[in-house]
Amino acid sequence: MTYLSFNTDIRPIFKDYVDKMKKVVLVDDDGTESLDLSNYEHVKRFNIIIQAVIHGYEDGSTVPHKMPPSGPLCSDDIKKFDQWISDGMHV
Amino acid sequence: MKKKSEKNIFDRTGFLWQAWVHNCTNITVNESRKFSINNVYDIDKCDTAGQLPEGGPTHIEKPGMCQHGKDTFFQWHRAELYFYEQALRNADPLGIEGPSTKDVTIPYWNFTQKPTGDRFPKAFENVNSTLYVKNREKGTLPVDGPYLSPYLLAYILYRYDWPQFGGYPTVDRRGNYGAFEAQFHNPMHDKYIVGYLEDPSTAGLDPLFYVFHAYIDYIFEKWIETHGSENITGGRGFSRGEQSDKLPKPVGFSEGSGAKREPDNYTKNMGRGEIYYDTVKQGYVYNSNSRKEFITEEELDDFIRNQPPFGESKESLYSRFIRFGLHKPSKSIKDLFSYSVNFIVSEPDYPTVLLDVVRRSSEADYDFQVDVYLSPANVDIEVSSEAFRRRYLVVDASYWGVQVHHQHDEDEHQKSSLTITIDISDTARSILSGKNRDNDWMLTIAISSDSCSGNCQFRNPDIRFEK
Repeated sequence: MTYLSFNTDIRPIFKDYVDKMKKVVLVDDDGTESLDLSNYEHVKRFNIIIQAVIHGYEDGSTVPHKMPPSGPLCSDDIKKFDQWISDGMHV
Repeated sequence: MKKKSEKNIFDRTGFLWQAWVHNCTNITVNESRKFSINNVYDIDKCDTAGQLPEGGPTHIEKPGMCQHGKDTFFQWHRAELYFYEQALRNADPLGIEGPSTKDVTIPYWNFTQKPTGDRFPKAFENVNSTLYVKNREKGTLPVDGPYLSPYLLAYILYRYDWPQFGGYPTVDRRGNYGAFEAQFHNPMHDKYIVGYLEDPSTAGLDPLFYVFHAYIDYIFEKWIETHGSENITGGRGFSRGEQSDKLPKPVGFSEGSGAKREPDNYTKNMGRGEIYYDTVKQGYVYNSNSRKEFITEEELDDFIRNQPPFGESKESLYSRFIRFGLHKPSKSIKDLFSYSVNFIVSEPDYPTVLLDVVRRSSEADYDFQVDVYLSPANVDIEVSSEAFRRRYLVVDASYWGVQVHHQHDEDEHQKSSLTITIDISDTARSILSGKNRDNDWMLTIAISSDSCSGNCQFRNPDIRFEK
């Protein structure tokens, strides 16, 4: 069975936002980190938050900060990210 | 603290850095981490790059980012105040330039009581004081501010559980404002105080910000005293903010995982939110010295005991809460946008009634106030009528345009929709207890805004019944 992978399928989705999002510090129950969307470990660590904010543009979302700030990702990319998480977040 | 910043803007114990902690996510810093200015207000936004000489090596530091519209609002601001107070004590502990600061504490400003000045505590209106800034709203008290009502404050303080009071977690995508933030904090920022407090990235530049938030911290403490801290969510998360390593840390402090820059003489964050729940452990308690700072539960019960079911008296409970007079929308009536839908009072198996107010996608973020009315279907909906408003006003809430102000969004356009969820279960229950329970009802939301220039776009109100 073929799974989606970070290097092939996910990193290209975020490539235009890497520099901008490095300005943002994210928090979780382990600590704080500047978000590097090109880094597999970062995206895996903050996958729940990233998933929530990229779905933030959907009508009725209550997420305070929608991402990317310039407008929503295309729906295929959002579905791909959801699928990557469901697959087990492979490198 | 201001003098420290004037000597060196990058001193993390100075006023400017502490102001940046609220919401300056990126600051350009020179190699020596030293730069002086004439007046602390020469830098009144998150921009140091324009001040530094061109060409020298620089790097980016991340003073902090506040938490709003979620369940970490109270914890984050408590952490911010903790470190601000430590910086205040560190300002002049030996008393070289005046009284020693080593034991100073941040006073609180109870904005639900008549101020000692025209609008604010008198000391903050003294133009010769370091506490004064000139761009705050001026003039006497507004007559239409529910956010000034001690009865409304008591109601949400004693009657609301955590998420309803303190905010909703974001991890399940339902992050949202708690009632305190939407009904008190937000309008106090952008309607009552204004000036630097209109924008999260500059809010900390006004000394009034700290005494305003100190009372909010007291309210948080009062809620914990009433309900306990066991059901508070969001506490395991860390609070964003880089602080000087010289300042005493809170008890239980750890920074968690993650790399640090060199030199590593700063805290990577302000620790987990939950370490701040017990103020005694952190070395402080709120003592009102016999002043009465809150309406008691008994007084609240007395106040609402004889209130007839909703819609059966000339004045709704919410209208009564507002002690300064009849609540009005924030803008002139003719500019109101209102939307009405049929409302089934209750589904018996679903006692929680939630109203979603959804602002449609827009080119830019903007502040707004929403007023919620419930009226029998056979009554004309007349939001412009004082009698209608007085009788059928259920609640109001405000949105503070936080998204557009966050620094990483500064050159972007917001095109997202936005939802504020308001719990109207109590009013539904009140109607069910009265003689109008079988009537058809209409729910109306009236939107007013000073900043959307006629382009306010909202969906019809969306009502959800939940168990």
